[in-house]
Amino acid sequence: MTGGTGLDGRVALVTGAGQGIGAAIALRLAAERAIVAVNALHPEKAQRTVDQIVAGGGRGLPVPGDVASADVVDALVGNVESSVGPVEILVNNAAILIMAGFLELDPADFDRTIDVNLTGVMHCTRRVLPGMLEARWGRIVTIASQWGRIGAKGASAYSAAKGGLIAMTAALAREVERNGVIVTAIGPGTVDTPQLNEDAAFMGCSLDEVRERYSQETLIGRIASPGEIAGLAVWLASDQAVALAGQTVLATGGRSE
Amino acid sequence: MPADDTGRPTVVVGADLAVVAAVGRQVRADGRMIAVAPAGPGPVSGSGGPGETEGFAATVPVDGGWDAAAARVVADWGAPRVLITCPAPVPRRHLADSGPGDWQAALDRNLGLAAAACRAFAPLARGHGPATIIMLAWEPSGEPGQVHLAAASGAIQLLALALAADLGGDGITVNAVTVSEHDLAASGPVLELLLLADAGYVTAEVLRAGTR
Repeated sequence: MTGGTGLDGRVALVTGAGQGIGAAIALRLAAERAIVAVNALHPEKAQRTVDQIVAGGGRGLPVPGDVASADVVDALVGNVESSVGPVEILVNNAAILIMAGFLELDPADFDRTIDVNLTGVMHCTRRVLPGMLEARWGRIVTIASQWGRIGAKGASAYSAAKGGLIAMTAALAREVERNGVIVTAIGPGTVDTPQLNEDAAFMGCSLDEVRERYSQETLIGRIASPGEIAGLAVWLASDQAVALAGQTVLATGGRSE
Repeated sequence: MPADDTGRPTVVVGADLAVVAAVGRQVRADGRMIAVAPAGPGPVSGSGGPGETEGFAATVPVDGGWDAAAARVVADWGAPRVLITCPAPVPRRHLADSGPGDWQAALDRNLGLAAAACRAFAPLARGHGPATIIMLAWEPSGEPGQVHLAAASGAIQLLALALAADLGGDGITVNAVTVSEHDLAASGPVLELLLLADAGYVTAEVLRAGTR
């Protein structure tokens, strides 16, 4: 899928795009000839993804920063606007996951998870939405999680934040869809990203063991690749996504718990 | 709709040829799309008309039974990669004003057909690489007189979830898509999403086509 999605020249901002799903989405959007602003907490990670985009013949710019801060978001979006134009596609992907039982989880870590995973999405969305409404075209794709639907042991804050994103997506879509702004979400199941290292540590097993365990919990016997989630995200950034406004597309391999 | 590079056919099945044709137009598949209808070519429900089978490589009747129809499809075009089952129109009628026949007809033409089609085609899709089944079901609007429609639709959605569990090990994904009777065209983009090569991790889900 390259060039057939109508994203040629569109300005996209992908948060948390220094690795994993976010990096895969940034690269796929660039392959569709979108101009991709790459956000990551650490500047070197944002630059690394931009380097990959440029090496593939695409256009990208690094906009590192912590999305939990409204001021930082304001500044980084302002950088995008002054450099390449208003953000037309926002992919809210930045997230953290600290695996710990609810009573063992430091309240500060609970708050930080909500700040990044839920409030960060609010900051980014609120910052770019006026421009989208004015242009009467915009796409907001949020990477939620199946854990936002079913919850997960050791991930109370993460599940709460992702559940909030799913509900926020449905609510915001109703507010703005008639103005050409389509808001959707994806709820991935287990994806083969560096996050699995954290899961393995929490479970006290090896990375291969956690991959095997998660695979066995799906109906189709495997975990997802970041590229699969990226493919769905790029489609949801296209004009076709109108039919799915407000929905969260769960890509879980049929994992039920 | 990305062209299917496997060379395997897409099969669209339904009790109402007009609905089958409408879904077929939404899929916009290549020439290897096959329509399968229980009563054969021509309007089944009386709502059909000329040109309904345009765009299909063939229309296969089920006069000789589902297994025979499926065998013919496989013999002539190969094992299906995609099976789409379509809902049949359900007359609006209050439950208190309807008889057992109304109930049974709604179930037979929707749930029964979807189950029969999967029973016939799914075994033939095994062992040929990834395949996907998409079951379309009506989205109840909330207006009166939709008890039969709602029951049939809900049953199809749960059938899809259960089938996904049964067929996941064979590399076959199964999902349901609900669509309004008044906006069948909205199913097109959702079908397109589910037929993406990158949608192979989406299974056992119910997607709603269109906004409300």
